[in-house]
Amino acid sequence: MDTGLIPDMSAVLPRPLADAGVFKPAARAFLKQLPFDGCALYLWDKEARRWTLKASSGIKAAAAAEYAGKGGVLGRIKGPFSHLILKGHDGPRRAASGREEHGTLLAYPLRDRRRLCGAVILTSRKTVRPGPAMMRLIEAASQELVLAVKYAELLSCHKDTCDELRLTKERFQNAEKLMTLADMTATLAHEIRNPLVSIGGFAVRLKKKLAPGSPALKYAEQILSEAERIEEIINGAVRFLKDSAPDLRPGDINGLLDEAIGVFEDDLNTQGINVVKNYSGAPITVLVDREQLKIAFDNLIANAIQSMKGGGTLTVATSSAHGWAIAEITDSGGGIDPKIIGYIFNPFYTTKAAGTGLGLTITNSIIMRHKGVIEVINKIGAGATFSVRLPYAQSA
Amino acid sequence: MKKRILVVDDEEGLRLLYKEELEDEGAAVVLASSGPEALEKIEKDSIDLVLLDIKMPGMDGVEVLRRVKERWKDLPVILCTAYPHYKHDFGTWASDAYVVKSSDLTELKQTIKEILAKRRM
Repeated sequence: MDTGLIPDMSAVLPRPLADAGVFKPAARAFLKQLPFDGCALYLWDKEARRWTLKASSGIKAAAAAEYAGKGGVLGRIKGPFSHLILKGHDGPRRAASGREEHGTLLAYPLRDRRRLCGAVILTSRKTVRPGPAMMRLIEAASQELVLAVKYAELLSCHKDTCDELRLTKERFQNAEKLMTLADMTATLAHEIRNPLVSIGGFAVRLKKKLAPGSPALKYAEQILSEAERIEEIINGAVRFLKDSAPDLRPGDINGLLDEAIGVFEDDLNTQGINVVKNYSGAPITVLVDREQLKIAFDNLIANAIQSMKGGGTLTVATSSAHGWAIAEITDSGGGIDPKIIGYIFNPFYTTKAAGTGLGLTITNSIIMRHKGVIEVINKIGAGATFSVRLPYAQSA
Repeated sequence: MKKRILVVDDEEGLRLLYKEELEDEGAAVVLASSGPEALEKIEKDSIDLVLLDIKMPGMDGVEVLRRVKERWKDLPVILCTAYPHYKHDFGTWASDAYVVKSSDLTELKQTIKEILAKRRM
């Protein structure tokens, strides 16, 4: 007997499970080397308790499905029998010579040690009586196939692990970025403040010495106002760095959002922005530092308003699911340019002429300190949704 | 009699600014650009109040504060800093006041007035 079956089966080995190419060549290999004319390969899903047909050659689809269905042949090999041989599975027939003929069906389980993971069905129109040698060959070939399946599972698991590792690495790197930024910002803030006090202080003195209405006075005022602006940026950056843990108290998300929107009432009216509120029916209580969360929501709403200069719709929605309280702020500003969306949370990154670039960084930092998560759902042409998730306090 | 204020800061711009501003308010201003220079000036001249920067190369403000209070415990010292975090440093509690530097000198001047008023009593 030709034992090329084993090498043929090994050749099937290093392929991902999803690749249909694993099973088709395997089925053909069985048929090439054995006196059968039909082969079907199945995998057994232990959780769903179900057979899946992976490939068949020489067996009609309907028949292959029937074998795997309720009451089908495969149901009989899950038990302690090592395999099953059926004679006449396809009913009695008359050969060309007129003699009665019986087909043969061999159902062979694929086992990974003791665990059932699949099956091979081999059919032949003629009677086949597999001897011990053939059975051993089928066993060996099946083991190769089991190996292929397990290898594919391992590859898949490895890929998942690698993906998770990459995500974790990213998160860690982001955290590190924030930390280094903290050190640098503290030093920078300090270094900048000194010359800034000089600039601002002398601008004040200059102002006092200049004639009212003179251009020079305007220049001095301009210098002072810019110096004050820098001071604001520094104060903002230093506030962001403060180690203070949030002072957590129960608060209703709906109420907090309303307050934040209220702050921007004038801008909303002036810019012709329509506000739609989809609040959850019942109040959603979360443990929050009101001051900090106000800043977070203010930043998000301000950004939304900024994106809708010519008017639009601001939608705020709240809900709760799976232990999270969710607040979503959606604008109709056309969405965020996909080229830059990766940067928007970076410190000092801004697309606005007069922006500090710290708004979203601070918001992100505040949400993280509350053990929450912030995500952006970007719809180009429509608008962006900033989704804030905070752990839900169970006691109302 | 004019009050004599010692301004200690390693930044020339700030020394100049404080001198001009405080002289406008009627004080006599003495300048020092480092810790050791400050201690010298206090020894030689009679000083009524010290404005002390915290972050300085060499001897920093907290160290100067300690030495000043050791030798002249009644001499008021106001700590000026660009860095608000120093509020948590125990060494700074020994100062009479703590002001964060800003281009708006109102708070500083107000604090100086209050401390000098207390001293007169």
